Amino acid sequence: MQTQSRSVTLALLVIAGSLLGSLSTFVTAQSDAVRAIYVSAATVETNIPGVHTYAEAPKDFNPLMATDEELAMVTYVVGSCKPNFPPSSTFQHINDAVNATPAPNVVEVCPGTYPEVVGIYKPMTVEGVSASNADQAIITVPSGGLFTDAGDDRGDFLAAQIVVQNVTGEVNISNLTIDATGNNVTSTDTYIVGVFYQNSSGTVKDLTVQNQNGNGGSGVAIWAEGGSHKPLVTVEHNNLQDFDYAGIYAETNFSSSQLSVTLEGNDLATNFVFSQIPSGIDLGAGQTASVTGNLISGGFKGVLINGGKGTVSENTVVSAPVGVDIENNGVSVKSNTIYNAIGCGLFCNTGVGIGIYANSAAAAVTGNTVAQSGIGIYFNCAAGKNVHGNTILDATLGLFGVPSGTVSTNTYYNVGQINPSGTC
Amino acid sequence: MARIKSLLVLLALVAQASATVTYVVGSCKPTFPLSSTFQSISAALAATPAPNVVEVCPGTYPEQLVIDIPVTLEGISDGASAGATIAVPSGGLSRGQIDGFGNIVFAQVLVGIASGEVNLSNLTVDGTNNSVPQSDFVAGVFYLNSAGTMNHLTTQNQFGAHNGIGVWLEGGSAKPSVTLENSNLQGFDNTGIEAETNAQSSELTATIKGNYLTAYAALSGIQIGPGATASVSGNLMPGSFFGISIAKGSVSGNTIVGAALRGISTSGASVTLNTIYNSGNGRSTSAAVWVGSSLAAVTGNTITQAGTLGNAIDFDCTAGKNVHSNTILGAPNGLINVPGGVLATETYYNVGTISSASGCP
Repeated sequence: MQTQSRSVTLALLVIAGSLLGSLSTFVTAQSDAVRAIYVSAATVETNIPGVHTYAEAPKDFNPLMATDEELAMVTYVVGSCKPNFPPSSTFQHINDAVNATPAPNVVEVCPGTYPEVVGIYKPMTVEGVSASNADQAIITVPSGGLFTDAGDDRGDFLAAQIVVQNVTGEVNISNLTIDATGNNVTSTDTYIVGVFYQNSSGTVKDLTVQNQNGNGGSGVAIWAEGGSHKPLVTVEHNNLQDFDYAGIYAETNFSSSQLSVTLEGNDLATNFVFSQIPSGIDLGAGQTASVTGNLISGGFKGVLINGGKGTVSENTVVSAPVGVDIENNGVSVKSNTIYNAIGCGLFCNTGVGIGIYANSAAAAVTGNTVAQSGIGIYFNCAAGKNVHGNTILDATLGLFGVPSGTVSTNTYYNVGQINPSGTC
Repeated sequence: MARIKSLLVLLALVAQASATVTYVVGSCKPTFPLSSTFQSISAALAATPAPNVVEVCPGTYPEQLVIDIPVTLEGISDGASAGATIAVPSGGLSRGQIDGFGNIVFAQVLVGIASGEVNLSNLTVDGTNNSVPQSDFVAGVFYLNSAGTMNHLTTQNQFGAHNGIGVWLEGGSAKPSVTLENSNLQGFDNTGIEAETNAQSSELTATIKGNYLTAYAALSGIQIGPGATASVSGNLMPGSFFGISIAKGSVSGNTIVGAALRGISTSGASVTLNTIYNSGNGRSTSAAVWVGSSLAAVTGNTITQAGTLGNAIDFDCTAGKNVHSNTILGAPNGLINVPGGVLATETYYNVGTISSASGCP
């Protein structure tokens, strides 16, 4: 009780300092049992159920201007790293916390291992926190393995570790490791998915998502699907490892865009290579994408553009037999670096690696650097004058399959044949 | 009259000295004067007057080159190809050069003590079938106490018994400055870029920027040894055991993927704004960044996926407060061998153990 009165006193001091005569207004707004109190003093805990304090007030927080939603923050803790947190707001399982009543605004996950599957159906933030010299909350596969818990809008089955479904408002997930080792999914009809956003908005950042693999090429680290909410999903600064179908997959089964995705600053690597898969980033239909600053290593295709609209720019693709595969008209591909696109062996009909496969390029393909490839840019008798201004360094063939009459001006260094004739 | 004659002679000499002598190697410029056209690069370099520029047509040139004049040697495009390849002569490389440490280096292109700059561009140097003895080194290009710029080179297949070097830079009394940029070094089995001088103080300034290095199963991507100061920036490097090792200078904005043991090792150089990804897989002694100096600034780097057993930053019980503001995402261990009393402020995500001093006395 003593702690409680201290925190409230400190809160009131802060409020008094900034609001003076408006104190009664703020107190009225605090009438619900579940409130957050922002104080500038450090490390103050309270015993009020559902209430905790913050080390520092957010710089832009002004209680007078705050909305009811901002004032009514419900925070839960998962794990045992915050022993002073009220037991009624502390959970042992992430899924229990995210589905508790009242619904949380924030779920903080202590370092530890959580063998569970998580379903999120309300707006909230779920974040790993650090404690006792550790900063790793790991969601692992429950005993018995993963099971089908979602379906996409094409009728595919998904065994997803985190499902975010039809949420109005944002779901933000950060600083967690999601590991699908031992998923035990054997059916080739079921996708093994780390995080699945379905018709829901939010930001996914600072995650490690790994080992979504095992049934021969259906593992996806992060999957975003649009829908009637026309959601906005940001996927940034994540570490995605050893998927065997796609690192990030964005799509909607719809002819127009029902999803906006921003994929930025992610690092993706996989040791799997099958025929034509996996892709680092796979963009399907019904979405608009901004894909920038990602580092993609290994797999079969770095970026696969199968549909949608948007821009793929300033990404680095290393050691994928096909750096960027452009299969539809709507996405521009600019200023990317594609390195070491070699060695696809039997998996390519060309027999050699391809920097950019431009099977369609109504949008611009410009300013890219392709270093060390079998074929720098493969036009497949389809792409045209919108492909230009790229730099090709060290390729057996600079361009291939350029339609007759198409002039594509690029810069070449150490290229055996710049544009062999008769390839269409 | 005599004075006017002298003036005319002087003007003529100045005109001659300032005229650019350009030779062509190969047959891609049939309208070029025959007297200025050669079939080998060596013949063009040895011709009189000495060339300022040698343009090399697409083709394969099985030669071991020695360049001891200031010159620009550049591959050119004939419209159909932009590929001029310097290959190993039949029988292998025959001439070795001793470096400042007594090693024997068989260089495919030796730039040896030129009095001015030697610039190389748009050439492939292929070391296939080099036949260099296993006790010696093979190098694609070796700058010995010489200045210049290499741009858009490809060096490849410098294989030996783990003694293959893509580009080797060695300083000396001339204290040369050498730039290597926008080049692709692949298939070396020891080191992609080696820069060194056998001297206590720096006798070489190297600028290494915007290069690509594929170094699978090789020892080092870029190694800056004693007696050299280097600026290493914007390079993209998959593979190798050690990505970049350096004592003096700066390492910034590089992307290092999959270094098996250490991404960047510094014993004094600053290390800023680099991306080190997927380093040290399966090695408990690995480090994405190893810092063996209390003075080296190591800031603003992003370390992602520092191995399944590995470590993000190894302080070697030496580094201190100059290591800060790095971001570590996905590592069993964040900081190791941190000296007592050192408080390093980094940003951590998905890090098993944030900081450890267990290896320090």
